[in-house]
Amino acid sequence: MKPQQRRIVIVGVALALLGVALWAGWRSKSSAPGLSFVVLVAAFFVLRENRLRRQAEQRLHELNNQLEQRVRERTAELAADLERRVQERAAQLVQFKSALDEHAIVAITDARGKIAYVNDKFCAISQYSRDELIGQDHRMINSGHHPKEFIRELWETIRSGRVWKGELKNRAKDGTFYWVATTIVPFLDESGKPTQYIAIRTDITERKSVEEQVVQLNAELRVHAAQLEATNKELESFAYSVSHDLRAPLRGMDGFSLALLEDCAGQLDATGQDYLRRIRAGAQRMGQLIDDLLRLSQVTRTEMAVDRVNLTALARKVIAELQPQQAGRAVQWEVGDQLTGRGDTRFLQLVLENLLGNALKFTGKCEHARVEFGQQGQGAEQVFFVRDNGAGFDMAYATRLFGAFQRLHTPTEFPGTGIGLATVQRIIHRHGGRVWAEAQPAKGATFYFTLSTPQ
Amino acid sequence: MDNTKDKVILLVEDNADDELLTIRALKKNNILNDVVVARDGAEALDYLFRTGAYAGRDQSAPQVVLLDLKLPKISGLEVLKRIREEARTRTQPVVILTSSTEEQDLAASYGLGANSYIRKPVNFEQFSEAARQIGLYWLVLNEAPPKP
Repeated sequence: MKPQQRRIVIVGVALALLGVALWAGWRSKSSAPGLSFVVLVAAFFVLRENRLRRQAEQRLHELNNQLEQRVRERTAELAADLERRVQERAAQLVQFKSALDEHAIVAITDARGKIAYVNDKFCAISQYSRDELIGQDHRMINSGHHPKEFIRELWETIRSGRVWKGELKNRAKDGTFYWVATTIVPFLDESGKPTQYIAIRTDITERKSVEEQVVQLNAELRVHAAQLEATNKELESFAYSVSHDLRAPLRGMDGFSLALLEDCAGQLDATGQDYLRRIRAGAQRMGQLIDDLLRLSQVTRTEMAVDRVNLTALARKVIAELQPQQAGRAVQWEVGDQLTGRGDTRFLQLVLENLLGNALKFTGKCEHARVEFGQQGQGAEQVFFVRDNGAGFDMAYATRLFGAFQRLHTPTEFPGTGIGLATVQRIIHRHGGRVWAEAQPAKGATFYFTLSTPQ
Repeated sequence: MDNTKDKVILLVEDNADDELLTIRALKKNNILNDVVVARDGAEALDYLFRTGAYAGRDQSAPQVVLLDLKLPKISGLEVLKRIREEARTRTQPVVILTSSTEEQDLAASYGLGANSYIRKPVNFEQFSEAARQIGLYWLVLNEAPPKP
């Protein structure tokens, strides 16, 4: 029963009770006044009860309405908040995606391996349009570079739900190749089956080409090193053979010429004896040439042991060893104090032997020979020099000085093989330094050298 | 140096000119000892170990072996190695007398126990002087090792 109907019923009952009370009062004016009163009281209570009930119902209704209102408001509030957050997230995802698109080549592949999405970078690098790619599989850009096993392992990894990372060589539409560093992330459904794969790639073609170049250069370098080693070995065995075999015939020429001079001098006139002496001189000179050449080649063949070298001490030692060649001449030797340099001691001794030996030789015709070994500052570079006041030379020929077998004097003027300065130059170059000379005829020469390029 | 006549010099040399020149140099310096010449490494070892052509020779050891390095059949370094390996010849004085002063030869020779290393000069006067000093040192001054 609806409240409206109920009210009508209650009012009706009340009116009926009132009517019953009035009719009863009229019929028995004096006999039953009590009954009428009871009926009236009852009617009053019924009506009052009805009013109270109606009031309560009214209140309940109002409260209900208020609650409903609040629920509606709160729901709207929550919905608005949710939508705002969804929008924020969506905006963030769009930002993420645009950032990712800026950096990477992105593709989404469905469970069967068909391309479902590609970004612009994918299209740009593969040279295929989006329409050409969607619905195809990745065989479209397969370069054929990777072995089947490699591709099979890739698919096994991602099908089992694991992330695959690696470098792939792909082929673009025009047939050119490109390399991509690739991460493929599989996405699985509740049963663990892949639903899609997202592949994120970075173009590493340039790095790969540099790497390939490095590999190629390394291979070439190895070939060159092997060739160099072979050449060195050949040079070594050549030098070994020269050292052992070339001198023996000279010994014979010299020895038997001398034997002739000693044993058969009576059968030879002065000219014949002179010829024999010339044969001996030739053999000995040849022996000297061979020795010097071997020393020159040794400079190239021998490994350097670089250390700090006390050049002052080394020069004094060399000068002491040159004493026999000084042959009683008065030579004023001057060696600078505390001269040091970085290099191979044996080789630097050879440099000083040649330069100081030359200085001694070319001052041979001086009355007051003076030879100086010192150092002069030229900026950050340490420049050492050997200066003499000897025969000197014309600077016009300076460029020929350091060539093997090059001589600016005849053997009768000053003896020599012309290999000494070539040896000096080779040693200095092996040290990363420079060597040069300044001179004036009859006024002396200065040879300069450095031991390493200035830092 | 006449008191050293009975002491034999073993010259291991394949070059006939060098053989002649060495003997001449020794003779010029009055080194009159018997010079036994072995013309390759195998012959030298035969002499030292009394094998092959030298199977019947007496027990004496040479006073000094003058050993060239570049030899047919068995090289000088190999000869030296075998001399040092064998108990009978371990203390045998061996002087390397050769053309080369390549570092590798010097290092290998001394490494295998050479007693001395002398380079044959081209100039015969220098060669003769070297022979004189070898004779003086190894045949006169030096006391030979006791017999093993």
